[in-house]
Amino acid sequence: MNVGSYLGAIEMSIKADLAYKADYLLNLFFKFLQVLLLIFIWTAIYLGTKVSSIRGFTLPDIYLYFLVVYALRSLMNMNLPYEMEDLVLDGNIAVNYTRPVNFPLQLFFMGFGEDLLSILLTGIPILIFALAISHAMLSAFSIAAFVIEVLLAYAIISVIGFLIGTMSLKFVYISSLINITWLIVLLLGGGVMPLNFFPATIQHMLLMLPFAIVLYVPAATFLGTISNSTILFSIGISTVWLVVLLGIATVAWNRARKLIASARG
Amino acid sequence: MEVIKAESISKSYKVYETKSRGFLASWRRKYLVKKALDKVSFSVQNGEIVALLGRNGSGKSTLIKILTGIMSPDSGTATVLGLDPWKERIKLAFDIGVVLGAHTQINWNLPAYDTFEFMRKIYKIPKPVFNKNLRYFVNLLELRRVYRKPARTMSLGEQMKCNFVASILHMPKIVFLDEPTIGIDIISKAHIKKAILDMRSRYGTTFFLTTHIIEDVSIADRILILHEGHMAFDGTVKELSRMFGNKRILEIKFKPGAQIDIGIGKVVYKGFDVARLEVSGKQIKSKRFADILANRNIIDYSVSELGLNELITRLYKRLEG
Repeated sequence: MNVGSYLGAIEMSIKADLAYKADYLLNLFFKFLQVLLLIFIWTAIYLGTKVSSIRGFTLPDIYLYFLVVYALRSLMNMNLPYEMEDLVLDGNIAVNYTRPVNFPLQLFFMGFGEDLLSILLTGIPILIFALAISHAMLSAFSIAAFVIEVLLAYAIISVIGFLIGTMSLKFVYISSLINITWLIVLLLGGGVMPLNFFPATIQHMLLMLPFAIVLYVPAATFLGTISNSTILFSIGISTVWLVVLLGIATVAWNRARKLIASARG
Repeated sequence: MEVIKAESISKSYKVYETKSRGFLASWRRKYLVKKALDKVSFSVQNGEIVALLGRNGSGKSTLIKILTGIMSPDSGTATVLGLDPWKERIKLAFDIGVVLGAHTQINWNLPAYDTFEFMRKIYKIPKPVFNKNLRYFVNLLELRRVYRKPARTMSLGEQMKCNFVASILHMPKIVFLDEPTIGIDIISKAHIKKAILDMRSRYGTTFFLTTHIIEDVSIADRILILHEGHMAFDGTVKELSRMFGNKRILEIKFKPGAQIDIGIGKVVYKGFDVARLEVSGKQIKSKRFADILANRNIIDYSVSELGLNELITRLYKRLEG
């Protein structure tokens, strides 16, 4: 394994992001605006219906929930398939493929470089802020679970992104597919509302899918609104999902890499 | 020592064309199988500079992609430095450099130096070696004032040169270049050619390049010409010239309006006071040739070999019947 090249990939993408600081910061602000929108909507719902809590969530709980979701979204994104689509569109995927590196891993670390920057600039500061205003006392178990969940979620979202990205070698333009996937992840993963808001049966089904761990489970762990048994169940099932998705991605990549040469030029 | 060996390589693509016009055209398409390479065989010796020529779509890029492990052949075997490029891609990648002229390795947003540093990590080049190689290429290609400014502000020639450097900083044993001088000025072109020759004489590097630019071919020891997926020619420029009878071009300038009957060779152009004839090497040495040039109506004359451009054009024409 060419570790140096992966560290180099992380460094390169951080440098490239910092080359356009204004755009980078505006993009972080854009993500914040998206969360702000959700906060406004939920404020309207709570104040309009005059209920003090929905399925155990008070309005301050909702604020806190979306704050944590915002922090998590600094890691959870669809940058990887967009990067792959770009490489296919300009044909540079072929050049990249002549280097002595594992191409999927190289791509992963390129993306990780970008995410590392945003987690340092937004993710961690926001989590600290959320912790400070929530007065929540996180147990050692919750902290450990949170870290494991985030790592699992990041791996899952990267593999899903990579899978979508390989489609670009076949279909070239995949922006719509990426957007649809992301919307599904947001909706079924707790990015629009906590999964508790779904009817109980659907909620159980959603906990079986690989999306719940992306935003909902870590956010709920952070807020302490999820039972330890559900946390353990989610970690277990997500691990199984990760293995399955990795298997699918390996097969997809072995097919897709035969198409690299036909990518423009 | 053979460093590249291709034995009977074939490769087909599925291409589609639309059957009808109009809005629904993209639903009505048929698939065709296009043979990009058809039983291509050749070999390249260590330290050779080989130019691969051919018209657009003749299979040049496909061949380079197979030799560099980007693509696998349908049948036949390719061996580069004793390795199978498709199956042992990563191992081979340390010892080859690939420059695809139309695609850049340089990160657009950063100075070329950052990409060089990245290559250092990818190819595991020790820092002192990297510094030495970088100094060597920067001097050779005159990039001193270029490689530390953002890549997007570089001229096309500068980008191409930096792209070239990024691909060879690890001093590969073989360098594959797919149209390395496409769209750049003559000085930059000369820099790249100089670098190729210098690397070969200093490090014994083998070069395999495709090009449409005839001057680029002048540095090659040998040329390969692909035509519709077949290897149509494999030899030196001299051998190609011999194929067309070692023809020379005789240009004569005569007194304006003078009627002169040359009676030798084939007239390819005749103007008011100038004529161009194609003559064979044998005819030039004949006594008759000397007599004709003694004609007092002839003011001046020159003899030149058929240019490579002309030779290749003739070969294409012959192949296309």
